[in-house]
Formats: sequence, structure tokens, C-alpha cells
Amino acid sequence: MKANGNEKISLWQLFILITIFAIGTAVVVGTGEEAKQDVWISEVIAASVGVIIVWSYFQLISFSDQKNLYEMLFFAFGKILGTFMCILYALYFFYIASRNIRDFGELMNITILPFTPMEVIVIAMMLPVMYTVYLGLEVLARVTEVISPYIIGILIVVGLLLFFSEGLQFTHLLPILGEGFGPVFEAVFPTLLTFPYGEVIVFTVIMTATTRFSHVGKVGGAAVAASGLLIIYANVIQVAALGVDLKTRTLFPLMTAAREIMLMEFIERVDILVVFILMCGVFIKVSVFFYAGLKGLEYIFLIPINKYIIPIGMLIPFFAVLNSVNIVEHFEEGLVIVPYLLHLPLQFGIPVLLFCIIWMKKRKNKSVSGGIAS
Amino acid sequence: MKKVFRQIISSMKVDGTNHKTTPEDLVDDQNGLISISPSIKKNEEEFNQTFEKNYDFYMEKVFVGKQEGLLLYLTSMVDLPTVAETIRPALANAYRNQKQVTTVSQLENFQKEFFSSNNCIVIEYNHEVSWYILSGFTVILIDGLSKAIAISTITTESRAVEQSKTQTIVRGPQDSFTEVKATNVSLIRRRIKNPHLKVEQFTVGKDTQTAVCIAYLDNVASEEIVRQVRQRVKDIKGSAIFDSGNIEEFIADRVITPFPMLYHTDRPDTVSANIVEGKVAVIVDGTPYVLLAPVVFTDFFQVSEDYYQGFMMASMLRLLRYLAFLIALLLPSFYIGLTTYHPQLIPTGLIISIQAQREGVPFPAVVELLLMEVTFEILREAGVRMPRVVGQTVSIVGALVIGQAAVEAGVVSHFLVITVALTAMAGFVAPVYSFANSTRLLRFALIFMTAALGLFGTIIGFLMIIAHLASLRSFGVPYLAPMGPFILEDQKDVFVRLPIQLMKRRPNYLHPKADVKEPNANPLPSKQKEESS
Amino acid sequence: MRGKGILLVLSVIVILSGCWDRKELDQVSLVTGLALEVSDDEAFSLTIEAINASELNDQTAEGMTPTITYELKGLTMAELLNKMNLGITRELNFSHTRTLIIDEKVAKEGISRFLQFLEKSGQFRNDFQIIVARGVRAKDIITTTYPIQKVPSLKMYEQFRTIKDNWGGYPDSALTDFVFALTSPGRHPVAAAVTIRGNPNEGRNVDDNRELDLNAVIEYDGMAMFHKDRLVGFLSAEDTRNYMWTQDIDQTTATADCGEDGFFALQVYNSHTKVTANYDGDAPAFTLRIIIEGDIHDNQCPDSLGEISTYERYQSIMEDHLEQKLTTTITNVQNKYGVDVFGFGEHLSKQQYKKFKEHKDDWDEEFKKAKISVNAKVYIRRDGMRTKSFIEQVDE
Repeated sequence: MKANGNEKISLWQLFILITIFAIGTAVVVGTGEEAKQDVWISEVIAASVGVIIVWSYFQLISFSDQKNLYEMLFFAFGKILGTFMCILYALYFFYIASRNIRDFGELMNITILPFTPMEVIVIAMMLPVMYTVYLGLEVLARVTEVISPYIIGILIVVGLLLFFSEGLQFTHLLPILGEGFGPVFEAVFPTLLTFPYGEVIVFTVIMTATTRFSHVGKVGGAAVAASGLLIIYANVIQVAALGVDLKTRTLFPLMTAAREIMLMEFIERVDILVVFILMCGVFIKVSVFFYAGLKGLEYIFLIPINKYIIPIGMLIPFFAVLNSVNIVEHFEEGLVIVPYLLHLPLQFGIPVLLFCIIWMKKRKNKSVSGGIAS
Repeated sequence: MKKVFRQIISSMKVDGTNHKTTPEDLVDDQNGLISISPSIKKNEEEFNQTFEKNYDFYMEKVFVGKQEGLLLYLTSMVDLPTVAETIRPALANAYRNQKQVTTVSQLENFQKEFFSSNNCIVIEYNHEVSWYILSGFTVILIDGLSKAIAISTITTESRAVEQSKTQTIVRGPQDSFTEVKATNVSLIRRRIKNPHLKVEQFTVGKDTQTAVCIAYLDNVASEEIVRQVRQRVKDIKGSAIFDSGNIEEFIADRVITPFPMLYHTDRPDTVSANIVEGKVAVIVDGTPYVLLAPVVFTDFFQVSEDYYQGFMMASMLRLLRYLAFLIALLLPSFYIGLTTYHPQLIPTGLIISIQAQREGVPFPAVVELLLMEVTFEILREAGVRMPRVVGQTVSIVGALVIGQAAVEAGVVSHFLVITVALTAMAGFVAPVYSFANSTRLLRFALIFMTAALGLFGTIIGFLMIIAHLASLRSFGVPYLAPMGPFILEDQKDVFVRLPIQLMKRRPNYLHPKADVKEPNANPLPSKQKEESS
Repeated sequence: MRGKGILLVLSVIVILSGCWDRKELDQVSLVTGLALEVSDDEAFSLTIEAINASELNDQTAEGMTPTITYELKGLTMAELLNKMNLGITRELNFSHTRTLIIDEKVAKEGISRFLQFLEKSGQFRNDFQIIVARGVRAKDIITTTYPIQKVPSLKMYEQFRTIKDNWGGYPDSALTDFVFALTSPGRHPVAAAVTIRGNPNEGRNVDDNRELDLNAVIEYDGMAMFHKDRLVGFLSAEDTRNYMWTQDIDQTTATADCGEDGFFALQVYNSHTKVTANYDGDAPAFTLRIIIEGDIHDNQCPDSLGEISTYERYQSIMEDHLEQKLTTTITNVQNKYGVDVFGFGEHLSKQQYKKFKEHKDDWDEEFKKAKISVNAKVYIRRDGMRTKSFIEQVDE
């Protein structure tokens, strides 16, 4: 079975997919509270490590002769254990998708739609995701290409508007490294590393569908670097606009920052722009996770993904609502349990394990074939 | 024009595609192909029967040289002076000379001798005779021969080439296509004097037997695209083709979509420019609207005038068109979303005046908006369908009575009228009618989404529209090209138009055979040059 | 195809069942102002000022009241605001709230319990001003009308913006600024103070707008200083301008004496303040460097402004004058109130984080003994349409 059917995306599409995927929600939700005003330093470190992570994923794939994640799992763990692992990853991707949708639902409930039931919001949000994934990976890539200028443009414009409405005080960024590197690393590991850079693990399913695979490593690295820059930019304007204390107390700092925009008595109340960024970001992110998860099911049950879209697509909002009873539990789960229980093992542990097993299998094969040859 | 026609016909002869132009649909199902009978008597009966109850069918016994013959035509289709001036003297001449026309080769000689100045063809089947008569040819049947001569005497009467009615521009060529295919082809040929311009003809439509041509530059247009267009045109299985709109649904990649999958225009310059870019034109006899394939989303924001005026002005106008598109699509939704769901997003001064005007309006904002939108659509439809003479009344009734009275009666608020009017005006900016219509349709969909979920619903709807657009392909070319997939080189002629000197290459997404338009094109005039001159 | 059908059905369900948050504009009342007062029997009383929009539109105005005020007493703001419909027909919308007026007594007891609600609630935005009613009831402030901006809160909002842009002596006390100062260890919050000149009872009548000399006008009256969230004292408008100078002012006009004969006024159009924080022994030391650019717009003295020497003399007079005035204001606050509203601690934390960390918890004590020096540099660029003053000739 050929990975991803005959759907191919270009390198540029992969670049923009990874970039938007990584900045998608990270620019809107607050991350790295531990580092306070030095969050941008943490982000620099995390992004640099992120580049290495993506590069490693690429190396892993090319090392295993361009197998995607699921093929690697089957190759390394055999039929039964491999199936189990695939289910694990598929569920992981669905779970993260449902978390993202929930994040979004919370934002909508808090800000612009307080009385609309969460169920309606998450189901409505799932509609374009299901439609896009139904149309295929290529369409998803193209949609990302089309909306990415708006996401990035709006992000930059929000910063500029804040700057021109004199809402930015760069002194909020001082003192640099007041408490030393301790808090900075505390923020990097594991939260910033796993979110959003570690989540790029999902692209091990998609990378093999690119037209020129040999460049994927470089492109992926560049994409993570680009998203790193944008996240740093977002973090800097958040801190400069709100100050550390308010930024860390706000659920959606960029949204709060955007509320400070007041320009020419006309450009004000532009929160909807931030909602738009988050919505597009969530849309892309969930679509990618959803697609990758469905792909896993395809490998396990050998049924094309379009058959799963409706049932699984309905389960995700269901779980988004049921995952946690209240917002605190939701964030607690995301910051305390998920990174250690899910992110670290699935983003780093298993890939390392995969590498070892594939390496051993390859060596064995080589020695066997070498033996025959000699 | 006749020259062109002859060229087409002679090319058909060379190709041996003769039968294609006289489609099998006219062939009698039971008896199959029937050769022309050598007996004049029989033929007389035969064709009298075929064309019975037709007042305009004309049949006359004549002498073709020594032989007896039949002269057949439809008086309504042929140009009678042509018949009188060319065919009759030729026959008279032949009779005087007692020409011997008893064999096929003699027939051919006869044809060459007497009708060489006309478009003329030797035919051999009954259904061909019918077809050529129906097409305005004069057919001469000769006793003892199972072949006949068809001479083109088609009337050139048609509407004169006039100014374009639907896509007017200020500067640039003002002519437009007419209903006559030959005129249309000639309008294109006159602009592209290039042997690489190929115009292939097909006949489609079981009942109407409409001629459809595809025109392209064979050294530019992608072979794959040409092949697809040709195949799809050939495969049309329809009964009646009166307009390119009929064709459009047959050859489009997707039918279930609000967006037009082909570009239609009645401007020869637009068609020619697009052919040069590497597109394929589909010309349908009987309609001034020529189709262009493949089409991408951004084509609907370009008009030929963009290239006739300065690039800065053209770019600004083009951006304005995109803005107008967004306004036409989104403004009513924004109005609903902002006023009923997110009053916190409206500046205080503005919301106070909106609120003041809404006091006492009996309907929810959505109903109010739909009311006005539907009213507007009715007015618009009335304006289009109405006889020109009463058109004035419609605008007076529409604008004054309904708009003004509704506001004064307190049924709708001022702001809503402004919204609807601005939306309507923005809708008229779209250069292509069918595209403007798709905005109208989607506008209502977005209004419903917004009414349910506020701006959240608008954005969801918008994302779904983008996903839908991204999934569309027109003859293999992604509809959103060159934005999705993003092609950097093609951006020079999408949102803005760069100076013509910088547009040396044809759009990549069309996969042109010849990438560079003119290898030695002038560079941008440099500053130094200006100084020295 | 079946999938598409299901998708379609889902969309239709979502669309048809929607409208939870839909509120027609003619079903809501926009609240522009809130007033907090103490109450004897309950925790506090809250007055809202809701707009009567049709009265603010020229075409629909009938000369009725432009705002509707309504007062309720209760325990939590959240409940009170929802309960307002005891007397008000429509649902309230707080997204356009412009002012929160706090009674002096409430301010003295502490206001963070109110602010936390405002900050948490997604309904309020950050752009409303926190204002202390000085010497009058808070409720009276939002019932004093004005001919141009008939809504008191909008009048104040517009007025404050104008003060800030022109004379400069207005401390921005939006919710975020206030909360930021409240949570910052090196700064205490401030808020604007307003009072009413005239008779508050007459200001309540719309007909008051017919008087040429308004019977009651809301007047800006300096600023209120807080220790944490409790009011400790007021500064006059003049002192507030000096305070704002330490915070980097945009525009203002400063007056100094140019000798015995009179005064001259400098219209400042560019001013830049830089605070250098340091530790001098065990007392913190702060240097304010202020660079000012301005034009002379008023000169009562006969000195000829056509000469460079006059420019230089005036420059140094102005420098001395400003240094002295700012120092007075700062030391006054230091000695009398002992609250660091200037944010000197914040500057120290940015510049010498380690030192600040030692004194983070007892910063107010440190602030009291801080040495402040002001260092002004004035550049006079030009002086109006005429170079020489005719006063010279008058005197001769």
C-alpha cells in the first residue's frame, strides 16, 4: 500500500502546513508562564530544539526508506504490537484534536458566544474540518496556502496596531534573565517543547507524501524556525502589551492584547481578528490531526479514510466536551498530565525506540544479505 | 470571412473528418448510411418527403450540362442573390457548353470549373444532403450520379458587430461577438494572425446540430488541456444547444458548485488574449458568448482593460474588485453578526446611532435583512426581464417607493438600507456575470450561518467556501491557482498587475508549452535611458 | 454522497437550532457608566447609567432624558448587574462601559473585590476609566448632564482624552493600567478624580442644558492615589501634571516666572523622561532626566525674544522651575503618603533586579527614604508669530 494514496503535496505546501500548524493555537493561548518576561528566550530555545526534532523525524523516515509513521510501526513491531501502536497513535492524534477543539470552544464561550452550548460550537467547528479532510490532503494543503497569508498578516497587523496605538511598552520585557536560566528551562521543558514543536510528530504521516522527499528535512526545519519566529513575535507583543502579570493570568493573551488596540477612534475593538487567527489555526491543526489519525485507522483496518470521516468526526466533538468537566480540569490535564503521559513518550520515546529497532533490523538484514553475498 | 470558412472546410477535407461534421444523428436509424440515389426521380421523392411541410424548401429541376439535375436549397437559409449570381450562370454556362457530367471525376472537374470561387464540396450520402441544405448550402443532384455538389450560399445576414453589452470597458476595443460562429472566428483570427491558431469544429446536440469550435494556439496551449477540452466537447450528449451556457454544464469538471467552472465573455480581445496565454476557447454557433477553459478563480477579477491602462491604476482597480467581492459576499453577514451577536465590536458612537435607528423596527435584524435582500433580488430580476421601455419605472418604484417608504414606515432601518445597497453595488463590480451570481447565492448561505452562530458562523462558512474552492479543478488546473497551490512566478498578474515588461512568462498553472512569451521582449526602461534620451 | 448528505443535515441542524446568543439591538440597553457607593444595609450600592439611544439621534430626539440611571443594593456585582431588570426593561450590555465611578468611602475600603469581577467578565472591555468621585456622591457624577455630550460618562471620556492630549495632566486609569499597577510590586495604582462644580441636584435636569451658565459641570480634579487598592489621598490637577511628567508626558504647557514682571509659558510638544535607578548606600537613588522641546507662547516680560541670550536664560529658568516643581511633588508624596505611585520600584526592578528583589516586600519603606533628583533639559525652539514683544515699548 502506497502511503497517502496518490495524493502529493509540494514542499512549499508542507512548509506552510507545518508553519501554520505550529503557530495555529500557540500564538493565541499563553504558554511558558514559568519564564515570565523571558518567555521569548524560552521560545528561542524551544524553537531551536524544535528544528532539531523535525530534522530527526525526517532522518528517521529517510532511515526507514521513506516509510511513514504507521508503516514504520508495523515494520518495527510486527503485526500485533504494530497494530496496537498504530491504534495508540491514532487515538493520540484524535485526542489532541479534541483538545484543540475544546480550547477553541472555551475561547468562544468566554468571549463572544457565552450562551451558545459548547456542543454546538465544537460540532460547528468540526464541520469545515470534516469537509476538508473529506476532500483530501491536497485540498487541505491548498486551503492552508490560501488562508495562511491572512493568519500571518493579521498576527503582524495586530502587533503593528498595538504599536501605533501606543499599547506596547517594551520595558515590560525587562529585566532579562532576572531569575537566571532556571525558569526559562522550566518553561522549555516539557511544555514549550511538546507544544507546539513536539506535535510535529503528526507530520511523520504526511512528510512521505511530498513530491521531493529529500528536501523535507530542510523545509521542515525552516518551517519550524519560521513558526518559532512568529511565536516569539506573538509572545513579545503579548508581554509588551499586557505586562507579565496580566499575561500569565489571561487565558488568551493575544485576545486581551488586541482589546488594547485603539487607533484613530475607528480601529478599535478588533478582537474578532484574533478569533479569526485562532479559528483558522484550530481548523488547520485539527484537520491535520484528524487526517493523520484517520490515516492510522486506514492502515489498521484497510478501509479508505473517507468511510471514517463521519463517525470519527462526530466522536471528536463528543470527546472534546466530555474530556473534562470544567475549564480548570481541561487546562490541568493539558499542562500536567498530557505532557508526561502522552507527549513525551509518543513524541520522543517511541520514535527513539523505532530508530533503534529499525537500525537493528537493518543491520540484521544487511549481515544476512552480506552473508549470502560472501 | 468566407476565406476563413473555406479554410475550415478545406482543413476538414484534408483530415478526412468529413463525417464528423455531418453527424450520424441525422442518419436514419433503421436503414443506416444511404448513398445518394442516381435516379433524379427517386431523389425528388426522397427529399420532398424529407422536407415536406416546409414552406421555404425549394427544389427545381435544372440541367447540369447535358444531364438533368435537381437544385435544392432552403430559401430562408441561402443568400438568394448569391444563388442567382453564381450558381445560375454557372449552370447556364454548363448547359450552353453541353458539359458531360456522368462520372465522379467529371463531377469534380465540373465543380472545379464552375464553382471554384465558392465553397463547394462533393457529398455522397443522403443525410449529408439534408445536413448541407439545412446549413444553408445549395445542393445540386445530378441524374445518374450517386454524388452531389453542395455549394455554400449561406446568407451572411446577421446582427452587425456591436459594442459589448455585458462587459463594457472605457478604453480598448469595443467590438463584441455576434451570434454567427463564422463572424466570431474571424474576430479572433483577425487578432491572432498566426498559423498556430487552430480552430477545430464539432457538431453537437442531437436535435439542433449546433456547430461548436475549439480554438487554441497549438504551440502554446498544454496538449493535455486541449485534449481534455476536445474530448469533452466531443462527448457532449445533449439534445439542444442554444448557448454556451448549455455547453458549460456538459464540459465542466464539477456541476454541483455555485462557482462558474468556465469563463464566458463576448469580448474578442479577452478571448484572444487568453488564447495567447495558453487557454482554449470554445465557440458555439448561435451565441455571442465564447467560453474559455481552463479557468481559475482569479480570472474573474480581471478585465481586458487592465492591460490597456497604466499598471498602477489597473492594480488598484483590481484590488478594488477583490474588495468589492468581499463586500458583496460578507457585508450583510457582518451587519447581522455585529449588530445581533457582537455589539461589543462596534465603536460606541456607531452603535448608538445604529441602535437609535433600530428602535421600533418590528422585525429581528435577520428578517429585516432578508426582506430587503429578497426585495432587491426581485427588483433586479424585474429590471432584467422587463421590457426596456418600462425599465425606468422599475428603478423609480424600487429606489424611491420601496426603499424610502420602508424606512419612513419604520419597517427597516437606514443602516440596513445602506448595507443592502452597498452590497448590491459591490455585486455589480464583478466583471463576469456568472461569477456575480455565485456571490449572490453564497451571500444568502452566509447570512443563514451568521444568523445562527454570529461571526463564528460566518468564518465557518467562509472556511467551507475556501475548502470547496480548493477542491475544484477546471480541466485539471486547480481552481485557486496560483494561490493554492501557490506559484510565486504567477503572482505578477493576480492581485496586482505588474508592468507588461515584467510579465514575460505565461502563467505556470496552465502548463504552457512555450513558457516565455517573447524571449527578446523589451526590458523595463531604465533610468539611464531616460536621461540619455 | 451519503456523507455529504449527513454533513448537510448537520449544518441545517446547527443553523436551525442556533441563536443562543442572538440579541437584537432594540432588546439591549448599552451601559456606559457604573457608580459604586457604600450602602448602610447591604454591602454596597451600584448605579448604572444606560443609554437612551433615540435621544442621542438628532432625528429621533424628543428632549427626554439621554440616559437612564437605576440603583440597586446587593452583595456581588455579578448578581446586581443581572438584577437591574427590576427597574429596567431591557437586557444590559456592558461592552461599551466608559466609566466606573467610585465613591470616596468605597475607595477607602478597597476596590479590588469589584475590579476582579470586571476583569474576569468577558463582557467588559479594558477601555473604561476608573474614576474616584471627590467630595460628591458617585451617583451624582453620572447624573450630571452636559449640552454637547449628553451622556455624562461619554462626556467625561471625551474630556479626559482631550486633557491627556493637550494639557497632559491626566493619569490613564483604564482597568488594565490599574490592575497592572496593583499587581506590580514596585508601583501603586492611581485613578482620576472628578468632582462637580455647582449644584449636583440641578445638573440632573435635562433643562439645565438650556442655561448659558451651566448649574452643574463635571470637573476633572486631579488624581487619587491608592495604597494597594485603598485610597490614601488626592493630588491636585497641577500636581497630577507633574506626576505625569515623571511618567513621560506627551504635550503640556508649563509656566514659569521670567523675572519680577510676570510669567512666560512654554508649550511643550515633545518631552522625554528617563529614570535611572540606582542604590546609593542603603537608600535607593533615582535620577529623572527630562528632555523637553517647546515653543514660547506667552511672555509677559519685556525681554526681547529676538536674542539668543533670552532664549538661553528662559531655558535655564524653565529647567530650574521644573526641577524644583517635580521634586516638590515627589517629596510631598514620599513624605505625606509614602506610596510609590511613580513606579520607581518598577524602574529599579528593570535596571537592578537583584537589589530590588531584596526590598521587594518592604518597598514602600524604601521608597520613603529614596533620594530623588530631577534633571531637566529644556530646548526652546521658536516663539510664535512675532519675534519682539510690544511690551518693551509699553514699558518705555
